[in-house]
Amino acid sequence: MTRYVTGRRDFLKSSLLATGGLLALPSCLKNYTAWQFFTEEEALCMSAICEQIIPTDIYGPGAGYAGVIFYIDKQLDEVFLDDREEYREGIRLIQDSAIQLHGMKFEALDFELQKGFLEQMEVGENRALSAEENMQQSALFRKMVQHTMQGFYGSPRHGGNRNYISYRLMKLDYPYIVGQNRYRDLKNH
Amino acid sequence: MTKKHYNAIVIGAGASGGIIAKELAMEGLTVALMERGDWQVFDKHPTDELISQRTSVLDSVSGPDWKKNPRVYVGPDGKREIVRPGDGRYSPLAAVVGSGTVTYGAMAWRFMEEDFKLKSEYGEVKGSTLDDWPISYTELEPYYEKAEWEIGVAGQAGANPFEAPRNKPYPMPPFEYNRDGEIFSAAAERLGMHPFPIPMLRNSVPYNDRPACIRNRTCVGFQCPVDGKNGTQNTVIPKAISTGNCDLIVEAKVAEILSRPNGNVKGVRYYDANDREKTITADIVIVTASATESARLMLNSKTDLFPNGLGNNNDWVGRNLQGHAYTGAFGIFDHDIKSYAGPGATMGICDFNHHNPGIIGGGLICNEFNRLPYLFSQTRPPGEPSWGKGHKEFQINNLKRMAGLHGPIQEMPMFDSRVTIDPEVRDHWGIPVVALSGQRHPLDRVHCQFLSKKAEEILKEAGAVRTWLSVGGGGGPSGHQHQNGTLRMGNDPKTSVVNKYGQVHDIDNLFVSDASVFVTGGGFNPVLTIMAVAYHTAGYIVKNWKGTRFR
Ligand SMILES: Cc1cc2nc3c(=O)[nH]c(=O)nc-3n(C[C@H](O)[C@H](O)[C@H](O)COP(=O)(O)OP(=O)(O)OC[C@H]3O[C@@H](n4cnc5c(N)ncnc54)[C@H](O)[C@@H]3O)c2cc1C
Repeated sequence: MTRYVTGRRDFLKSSLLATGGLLALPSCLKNYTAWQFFTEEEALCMSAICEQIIPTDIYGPGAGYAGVIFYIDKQLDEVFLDDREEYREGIRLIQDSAIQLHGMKFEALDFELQKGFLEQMEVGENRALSAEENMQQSALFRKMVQHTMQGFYGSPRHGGNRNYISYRLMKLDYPYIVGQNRYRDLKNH
Repeated sequence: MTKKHYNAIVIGAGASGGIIAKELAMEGLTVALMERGDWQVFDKHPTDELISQRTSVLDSVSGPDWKKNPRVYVGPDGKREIVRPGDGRYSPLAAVVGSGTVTYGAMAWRFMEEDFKLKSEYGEVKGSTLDDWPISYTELEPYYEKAEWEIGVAGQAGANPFEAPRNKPYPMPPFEYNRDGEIFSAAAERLGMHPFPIPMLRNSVPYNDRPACIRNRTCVGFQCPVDGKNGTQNTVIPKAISTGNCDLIVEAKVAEILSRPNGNVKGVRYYDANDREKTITADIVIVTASATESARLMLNSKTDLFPNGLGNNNDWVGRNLQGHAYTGAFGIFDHDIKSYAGPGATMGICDFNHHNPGIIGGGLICNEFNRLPYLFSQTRPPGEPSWGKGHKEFQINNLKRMAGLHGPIQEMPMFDSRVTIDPEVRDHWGIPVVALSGQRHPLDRVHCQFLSKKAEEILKEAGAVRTWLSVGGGGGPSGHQHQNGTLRMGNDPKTSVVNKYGQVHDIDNLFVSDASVFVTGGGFNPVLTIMAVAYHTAGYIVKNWKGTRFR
């Protein structure tokens, strides 16, 4: 898959896809082999969490389209070194408890169930986990929220915010230099 | 080529160091200006919020290097934790030629007369080391003027009725109000307040051979793409070098100040760009490495006469670490109130600096620098969702409809809020690192509440459909971008580290001239006062150099 979609027509096409509710991303992730930190399985779970944190809605694409997962993957490999264990262990607990509570992996749950699951994770009330685990998971969730926001609202240079999608949603031109109100072509950068 | 011996070594090429180096070099002294960082290059740091000096999530455009420069943060329970510059608890300032002045917001405040004599104005404050400065506003006034003209400030003299007396107007006309500045100033005036255009270290018109500001959105935390923002890196430092007397030595990490047996200092030990250990000598040494790093250098430099670090025989080095609790309020409007042109802060109000019943010092209120998308995503009214559909919707609909009014509060200095040296942790060069510990004074929170409510009044008057307070103060040690106070100036060597000229008590040829020497931090951003103090100290050094040469 291409990580950057730069043409305007491509952008329109993909955003239509996404707003149509067609979450084509997971199958697309399956063919992606260049993970720096996540295993393919972890990536599927994590990208579903990202899409919950910033969902596709009537305004347009969410974290999935923006490739927030690539941002988090890259930073866990390069910058957030202290968070690696927490992520690995945390995603394992999410999957174990999703199977225990709902008989399915997290990413396979329907959207509303996923949402409810994360709301409980946020406040530390996952019935399948111990009090101590719940505390850890709640802290991890706060971190996941921050990292997802960074990937979605930060510069595309770091792997997320594909095609400047968040700036477009906010109707923000994002000038590199004032007087040149156009998006940079990332392919040629 | 660096020399083996200089007349003066200046440690740190930031706000203060650049000025000292230039003033001494112009007078013919040979100067080594030593900077741990390098020149910042714009092309390496495009308009990227996540590595900006304001929201350093992944890295910071201006350093210091995250991997090589750990610090230790000591929590209220005594727990020690290693922190990196991206962590708010680290209290980072930049590590490049110019330091914070390359990327700052560039507000250019003079303190008020009262700010130099808080104890005389307000009396003792229980639990605080609040005191008067040994220097008055009147003594510093000519040096404020020098900073305004040489570095370059745009502003309107007399527009702020509470401003202390000045001899000369600003060299450049003031900046216009932006949209929210316009609306807030009208509202504040209806409430009987006195808004005025914020004086700025930016060019409102071409000045000093550089162009005028282009209202770049990504201003605070970023280097200016057209060089319309004025720091020491594009004013005094080039001037110092052009004299031929000043060698700027970049990537020079000073580890220790070296002394003679008689107690005077003789030079420094440092690690060069290739991490080789070196020493150079000088007749005088001036420490200008910022409030945290200057204290560290003094504490790490031990001699028989000063076994606990230079100037520290009375245990005042590193203490009274201050900064600014930021406080204010936000409002949401039913129309776009933010133009989002840069940098965003245009209007100031000084009605709440001094002479407010029950409030010691007080603080300024300004409209805000732009919150870029990620920072904005971290700012929400109470009760608003922090993720999910509602969070995204808020972001899309309110980026230009939400505005804040905030200001720095005069903090009550605390003896136990401090920089010490961590007993174990060392940096990449093996130099023991800063440990930060202590608490803020409970009054800070009370003062913040007062100022926040005033800010909210203005927002309401301006027609905000929803407002909420964001109250600062409380919690762990202060410091951060406005760090100051750790090497206090005073007349009594028992309760201070340097005299009014920045000369370390009992060490005639060692000076400190950065925010460390502040007695109190004011209810204003500090940099113009740092610059004025640096000119004042340089003037004293130059005058005495001609006589005794501090031998
Ligand atoms: C994003 C941002 C916005 C700001 N906005 C404003 C504003 O609007 N108005 C305002 O008044 N202030 C503002 N400030 C604060 C202002 O920049 C600082 O107060 C000021 O730079 C501090 O001056 P200083 O001389 O004490 O230290 P610095 O300017 O930090 O200078 C210290 C220098 O010493 C160097 N150094 C440290 N240790 C060593 C060593 N061991 N060896 C060699 N070199 C060393 C450092 O790398 C640095 O260059 C802002 C700061 C930031 C980061």
